[in-house]
Amino acid sequence: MKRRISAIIDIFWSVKLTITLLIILAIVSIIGTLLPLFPSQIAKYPLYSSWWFITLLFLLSINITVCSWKKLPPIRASALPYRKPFARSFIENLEHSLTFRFNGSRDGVIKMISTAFKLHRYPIVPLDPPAAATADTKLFITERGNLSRYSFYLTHISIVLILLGSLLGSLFGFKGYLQLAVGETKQKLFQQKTLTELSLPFAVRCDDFQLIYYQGTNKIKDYLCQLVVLEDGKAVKKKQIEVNNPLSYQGIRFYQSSYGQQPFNPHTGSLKLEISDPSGKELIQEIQARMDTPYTIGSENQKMTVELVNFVPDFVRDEEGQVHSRSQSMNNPAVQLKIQEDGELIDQFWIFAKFPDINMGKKKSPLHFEITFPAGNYYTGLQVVKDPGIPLVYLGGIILCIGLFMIFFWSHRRYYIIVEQQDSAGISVVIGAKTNKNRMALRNEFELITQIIQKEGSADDE
Amino acid sequence: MTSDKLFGLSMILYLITFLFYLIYLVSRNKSVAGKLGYVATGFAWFSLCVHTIAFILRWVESYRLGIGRIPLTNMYESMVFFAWSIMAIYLILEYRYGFRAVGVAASLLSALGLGIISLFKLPQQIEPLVPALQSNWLTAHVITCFLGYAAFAIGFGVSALFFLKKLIHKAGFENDFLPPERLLDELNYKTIAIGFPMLTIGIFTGAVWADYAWGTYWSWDPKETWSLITWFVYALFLHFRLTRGWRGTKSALLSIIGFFFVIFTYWGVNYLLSGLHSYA
Repeated sequence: MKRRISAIIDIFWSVKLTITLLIILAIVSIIGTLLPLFPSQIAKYPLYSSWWFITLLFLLSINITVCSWKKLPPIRASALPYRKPFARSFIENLEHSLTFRFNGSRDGVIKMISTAFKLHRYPIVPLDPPAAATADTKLFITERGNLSRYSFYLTHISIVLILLGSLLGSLFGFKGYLQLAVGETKQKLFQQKTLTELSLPFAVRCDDFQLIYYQGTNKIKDYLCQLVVLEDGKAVKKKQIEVNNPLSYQGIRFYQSSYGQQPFNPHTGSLKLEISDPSGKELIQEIQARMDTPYTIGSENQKMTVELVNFVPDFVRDEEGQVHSRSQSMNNPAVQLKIQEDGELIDQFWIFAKFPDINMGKKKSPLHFEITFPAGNYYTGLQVVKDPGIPLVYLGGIILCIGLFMIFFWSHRRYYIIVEQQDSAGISVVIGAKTNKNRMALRNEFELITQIIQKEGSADDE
Repeated sequence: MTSDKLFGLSMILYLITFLFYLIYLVSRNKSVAGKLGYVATGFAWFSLCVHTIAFILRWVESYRLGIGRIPLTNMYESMVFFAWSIMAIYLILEYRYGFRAVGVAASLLSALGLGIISLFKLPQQIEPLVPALQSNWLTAHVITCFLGYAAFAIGFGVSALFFLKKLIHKAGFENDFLPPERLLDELNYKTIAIGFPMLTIGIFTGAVWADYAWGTYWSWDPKETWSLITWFVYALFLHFRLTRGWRGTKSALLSIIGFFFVIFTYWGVNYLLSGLHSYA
C-alpha cells in the first residue's frame, strides 16, 4: 500500500507533469475561445466550468503542492549558512576568481578585506581550514540572499491560493442580475447561469437615477444610481453607485452594470408638455398631459387645443415617409401633436424628447412645443455578486507578483576567501564568487569589491 | 503641430536610428564602431523624446476637446504606447548592460509599430470614454500589459537575430557582424525575465479592475483567456530553461512562438474573436 501511494506521489513529483498539464490547459483554453465560431449547440458548451477542466486545474494544484513539499529539504539545505572548508583549487576554478599578492601583516590584510566586504554589506566569517592546509592559511566565507532560495514557494504556492480562491467562490458564491425601477424595492435576483431566482437576506431600493452626458454630445459619460439597503424596512446603508464603484453589504456587492428606460405606457402614463413662445425661450404654459386628451392652450376664449395623438418609443421614418418604431426601447421617444382651433385642425406634427428643437411638420402654429418623459421611467440594471474566495485570490495574486520579482532579481551570492602567509613572498589572497542566478550583476559586484581590495592592498604596501 | 504628425516623425526617426545601429554593427573598424555606437544611442534617445512629447501632446489635445484622459484606450493609442515601450525598455537594457547589439531589432520594431498605424489607417480621433473605461485601474492595467508585450517583442527581436546568425553560418560565412550566440541567448532570457512579471501584474490588475467594474475578476472572455495562454507559454519557457536546461535554439524558438501568442492576444482577439473586451 505504501509503495502504491509513493508511486502515485512520484507521478505528481515531476516538472514533466507540470509541462504536460500547462500544454493541455493551453490547448483546451484556445479551443474554448474558438467555440463561439461554431453552431450554437457547441458554442454554448461551458468548457471552463466543465468537470474535466476543473480536474485539470485540480491536478495542477496537487502537482505544485507535491513538488513544493519535495523541494523543501534541498532548498533548505542550499539556504543554510555555508560552513564547509574548501581548498585553493576550488576557488580558482570558480567563474569569478582573482588572486592577489600583498605585503604587510596578515591581520592587516584581513582587516582591509573585511572592511571592503562590509562596505557591500557582506560580513566575513572565519572558517576552519581543511586538514591538509598549513597553519598560516586562513579561510573566510560570506554570503547574502540565502532566503532568496525560498522565492520558489512564493511563486508556486500563490498559484495554489488563487485556484483555491476560485474554487471557494464557485462553491459558496453567487452571481445574479437585478433590475430596479426608480422607487422600486426588490429582494430577489435572477441567476443567469442556473436560470433560477435567488433571495437575498435584505432588500434594496433605487431612490434616484441619473444619466450624465459629455457636454454638448449625446454620448453617455456616466450613470449613477442612489441605492439603499433595507433590513426589516429600515435603511441600513446608502450609496450612490456608478460603474467601477459598487456598493458592498454583508459580503454581497452591487455593481452598476446597465440601465434602461421602461417604455412609456400611452394608456396610463402622462408626460410634461411645455409650450413656449416661437423662440422657445419664454415658457407660456406647462401641462401634465395624457394621450388622446385635448388641453386648452392660452385663455378659454382662444379655443385653441392641443392633443397628444400618437406615441412611438424609437422614432424612424422609412422611404415613403411612414413613421415606425425601430425598437421597444426609448431610444428616440416621440409624440405627435394635434393643434385645433375652434374645432378645426390647423396643425399636426411630431416632437422629440431627445431633440427638443425639432417640431417636425409644423406649419401654422407659432408656438414651440417640448416634451419630457417622467424620470421615474428609468430603471437600473445591477449585477449582484458574492464571492468569498476573492481575498484568497487577491492574496495569491500579490504574492505571485512579489515572488516573480524575487525570482528574477534576488540571488544567493557567496564569496570564498583564502588568506595565506607565504613567508618572504608576502601574503597571498584568493577570492572567488558564486551565484545561483543573475550572473551579470554578480560580475559587476565582484569587480567593484576586488577593485577596492586591490587599491587598498597596494596602498598599504607603501 | 498635431500629435498625429509627431508620431509620424517619430517613426522616421526610429528608421534612421535603425540605420545607425546597423552601420555600427557592420563596421569592422573598432574605433569607428565605438563612436557610431554613441551616435546610435544618442539618436535613439532623441527619437524616444520626440515620441514622448507626441504622446503628451495627444493627452493635452484630449483636454482641449473637453474629455481629458491619458491616451491608452484604443488601438491607435495602444500601438503608439507599444512602440514607445519597446524603445524605452531597450534603452534601459542598453544602459544597464552596455550591449548595443540588439539596437537594430528594437528600433526596427518600434518603427514598424508606428508604421502599422498609418498602414492600416487606424482611426485616430480622440473619443470620450464609456463609463466602464473610466478608472485608474485602466492606466495601471494597460501600462503593465504593454510593458510586458514590449519586453517580449525585444525577446522576439533577439531570437530573430539568433536565427539570422545561424542562417549566415549555414550559408558558409564564418564572420558575421552579430554578437555571440551565448550573449543573444542571455539577452533573450533577460527580456522574458522582465516581460513575464510585467504580464503577470498586467493580468492581475486587469482582474482587479474587472472586479471593480463588473464584480467578476475572471470571466474567461477571449482577451483574458488568450493573455492567460500567452502566460502559460512563457511559463513553459521558464520551466524548460530552468529545469531542463533548454538554451540556444530551443530557447529562441520558444521566444518567437511566445511572441506570436502575444500578437494574437493583442490583435487576433480584437479582430477575429469578440467579447466584452473589444476596446483595444
